Amino acid sequence: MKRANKVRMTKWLVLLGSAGCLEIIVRAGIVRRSTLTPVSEMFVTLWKFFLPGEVQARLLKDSSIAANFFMTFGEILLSFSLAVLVGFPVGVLLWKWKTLGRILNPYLVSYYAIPVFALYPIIVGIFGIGMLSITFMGWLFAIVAIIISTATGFDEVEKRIYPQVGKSLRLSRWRIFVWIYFPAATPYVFTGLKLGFIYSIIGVIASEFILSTRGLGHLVRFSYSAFETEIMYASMLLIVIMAVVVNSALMRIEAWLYGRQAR
Amino acid sequence: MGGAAGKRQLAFREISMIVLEVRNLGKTYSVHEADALRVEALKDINLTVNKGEFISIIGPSGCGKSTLFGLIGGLNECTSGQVLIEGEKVDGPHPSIGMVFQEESAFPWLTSLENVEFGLKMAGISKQERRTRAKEMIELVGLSGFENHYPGELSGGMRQRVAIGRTLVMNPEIILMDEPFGALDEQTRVLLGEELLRICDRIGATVLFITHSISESVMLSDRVYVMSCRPGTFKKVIDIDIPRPRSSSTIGTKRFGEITDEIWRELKEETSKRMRVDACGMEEDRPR
Amino acid sequence: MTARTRDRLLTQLGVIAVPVFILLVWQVSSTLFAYLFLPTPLKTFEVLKDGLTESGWLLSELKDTMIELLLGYLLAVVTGLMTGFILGMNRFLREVAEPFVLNIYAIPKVTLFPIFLFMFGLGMESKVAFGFFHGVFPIIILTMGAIKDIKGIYLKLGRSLRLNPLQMYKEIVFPSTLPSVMTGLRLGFNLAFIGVILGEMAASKSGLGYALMKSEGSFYMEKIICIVVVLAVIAVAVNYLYYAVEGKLIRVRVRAG
Repeated sequence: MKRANKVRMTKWLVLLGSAGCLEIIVRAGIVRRSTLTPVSEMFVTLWKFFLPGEVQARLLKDSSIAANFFMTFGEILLSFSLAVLVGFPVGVLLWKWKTLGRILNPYLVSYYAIPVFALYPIIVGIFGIGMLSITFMGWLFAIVAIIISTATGFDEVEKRIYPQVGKSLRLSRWRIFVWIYFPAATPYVFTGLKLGFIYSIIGVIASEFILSTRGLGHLVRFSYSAFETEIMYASMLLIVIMAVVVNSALMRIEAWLYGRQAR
Repeated sequence: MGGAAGKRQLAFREISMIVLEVRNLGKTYSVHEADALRVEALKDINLTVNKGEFISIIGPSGCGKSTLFGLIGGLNECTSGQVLIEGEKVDGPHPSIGMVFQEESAFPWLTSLENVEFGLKMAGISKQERRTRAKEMIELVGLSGFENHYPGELSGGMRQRVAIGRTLVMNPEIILMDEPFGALDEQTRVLLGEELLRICDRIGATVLFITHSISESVMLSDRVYVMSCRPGTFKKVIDIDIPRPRSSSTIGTKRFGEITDEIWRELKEETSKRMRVDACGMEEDRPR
Repeated sequence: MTARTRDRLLTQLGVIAVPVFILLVWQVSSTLFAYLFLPTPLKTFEVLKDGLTESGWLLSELKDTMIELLLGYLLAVVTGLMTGFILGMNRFLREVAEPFVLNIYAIPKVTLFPIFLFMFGLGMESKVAFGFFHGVFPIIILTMGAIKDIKGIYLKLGRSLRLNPLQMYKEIVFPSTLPSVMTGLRLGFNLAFIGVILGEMAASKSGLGYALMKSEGSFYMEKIICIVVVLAVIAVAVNYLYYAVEGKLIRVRVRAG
C-alpha cells in the first residue's frame, strides 16, 4: 500500500512541478510572453472559453469557441461511428473468408506506416474544404485499427474451446456467432474501438490544424498566426485534457474487460 | 440413494439398456503437404455403455483419446464404423449427449448461474424455469453462494464445476468427459472425483470418462478400457469389482492396488513404446 | 495439387492483384470521371520520372525530408532505448512514468507543433525535433514493456549459471526483448515519419510535406500523387526491411518460449 501512495504522490509532484517550472520561467521573464503563457493563465483563458464575451469577440467574429468545440466533437463522433459501422463488418468478413484476409494482410499491416495525411490534398480535391473532408480523414485513420482488432479478436476466439461448446449444444452457426463469438471477442474488439476513437480524435484535429477550416485544431493554428498566444495555449490545453481523459477512461474499461478473462 | 445404487448393481452384471454403442470405429487423417501420407489415428474401436454405468477410457497421451471423444460427441466424422446412441446413428452432436471438455470452457463473460442456464436459454426455456433448474444444479455441483461470480473470480476446480453443471442441467442420457480434471492439482482431483461420484449417484448418470490417471479411473468407474497407441485401439477391458458407494478411502485398499497394478502393466508397455517413437508423434487432436 | 498449395497460390496471386486492381480503377476513373481532374497513371509516371531525374524537384525535397527524418529518428532511437531500459529496470520510475507516456501517445501531437516552432524556428530543426517527439514514445513504451517482461525464470537461470553481465545481456536479455524492441523501433520510425511530414505540411520551406501543400494550392494533381507514391514506397520498404531483419534475428537467436 505504501508504495502505491508513493507512486501517486510522485506523479502529482512531477505534474505540478513541471507546471510550476513553466509558470516561473514566464513570470520571471526568462521566456517571453509572446511564446509562452503562464500555466495559471492558460486555465483562466480556458475557463473564459465557455463564457460569452471578450475572448470570442477578439478572435472569431462569427462563431463562438464553444461552437468550435462542439463542431470538432461532432466530427470525431461521426468519423468514429462510421469507422465502426464499416470497420466491424469488414473485420468479421476478413475473419470469415480466410483467403481474403491473407491477401489483404500485408496491406493492412503496412497501412499505418504510410502518412495518411499525405492524401489530404487529394481528398480536398474531391470533397472540397470543409466538414466532409475532415470527417473522412478521421474515418480513414480510424478504420483500419478497427478492422484489424476485430479480425484478430474473432481469430483468437476461434482458437479457444468456446465455439466447440456451442457446437456440442447443437446451436446454429448464427447463434454460435451471436452468443459465443461476439461476447468472447469483446475485449479484443474494444481495444480496436479504443484505438479507433483515439485515431479519430487525432485524425480530425490534425486535419483541422492543417486544413484550417473550423474546430479546435483550426483554433490553435489560427491563434498562432494571429499572435494570440494565450488563446493558443488554452486551446492546446483543452485538446490535451480531452485526449487524456478519453484515453484514461477507455484504458480502464479495456482493463476491466480483459480482467474478466483472468485465469 | 439406495435406489440409485441398486440400479447400478443391476446394470453392472446384466445388459439392461445400452445407451452408447461404438462399432468398429476408425479414423484416418491425411497429412497436409502430401495427400499421399495417411495416418491411422483410431482403429477397431468397440465400446458399450449401459444405463447408469461409469466407464473410463485410459491411455497414454497422444494415442487418440480426445479424437475419440470428438467422434463420439459428433463433432467430427469417423472414417469407418459407427456410433449409436440409444440405437440411433450419430452424425453430428446428439441431444442425448452432453460433453465436458478438457480445456476450461466456462464462458468468462457470464456468471456461474448464467453459464449453467446457457443451454436452457438457447433451447428456449422460460426464464423462470431455467433459473430454477440452474439454481438446483448450482447446488448439486457444490457452487452455492457463487451464483453471481464470474469464472475469472473462481478457482480452476470451481470453473470445471460450472462446466459440468452446464452440461448436466440439460439432462443428457450420457455424459462424455475428456480429462475434466486434467489441469488441476492432485488433491483437488481426488476431491472433485468424490464429488462427481456423489453427483452421479444422486441423478443416476451414465458417464464415459477419459483420463490418463489410473487411480482416477479405478476410483470412479465400473469398467476401464485400456487404449494402446498407433493406431489407437482398445487393448484390454478391465472390470472394477470394487463395491459402491466408493470414496477417496478406496484408494488405499488392497483390491484397488491390484487393479491399479494390472492397468499399469498394460499401460507401461504402451507408454514406453510411445516415448521411443515420440519424434514423429501424432498430436492429440482437439475436436474440430 | 493439394488444397493447401492451391490456397497459397491463390493468396499470392491475390496479393499481386490488389495493386493491379487499383491501377485499373485509377486508369478508368481518370478517363471516365473527368471532373475529378485525376491524371492517368501514365502521365503521373512521367512526372515522377521527371521529378527524380530531369528537373529533380522531387529529389531535392526528398533529400530534405530524409535528413530531417533520419536525424529525428536516430535521436528518438537513442533516447527511447535508454529511457525505456531505465524505466523497465526500475519499477518505481516505471509506475510513475507509465501513465504519462501512455497518455501522451493519445494526444494529437500536431496541435503542439507551434511550441516546436517557438523553440526551434521555422527551419529544419523544428521538424527534426517534432519527428523525435513522435518517434520516441513507442520506443520507450515497447522497450520498457520488453524489459519488464523478461521472464523471471530466465534471469534466475542466468544467475544460477553465474553469467557475467555481458553474457547475461547477450544470451538472455537481448534475445527475449528483441521482438518487442524491434516492433517499437519500427513503430517509432512510422510515427517519426508522420511527425516530420505533418510538420512540413504545417509550416516549412522545404521537404515533401511542403511540396504537397504547395502543389495542392496550384492544383498539380500529378505532383501530389507522385509525392504520395514516393511516401508510400518509402514507408512500405522500410517496414518490410524491419520485418525481414526481425525475422532473421529471431530465427537465429530465440528458441521456444
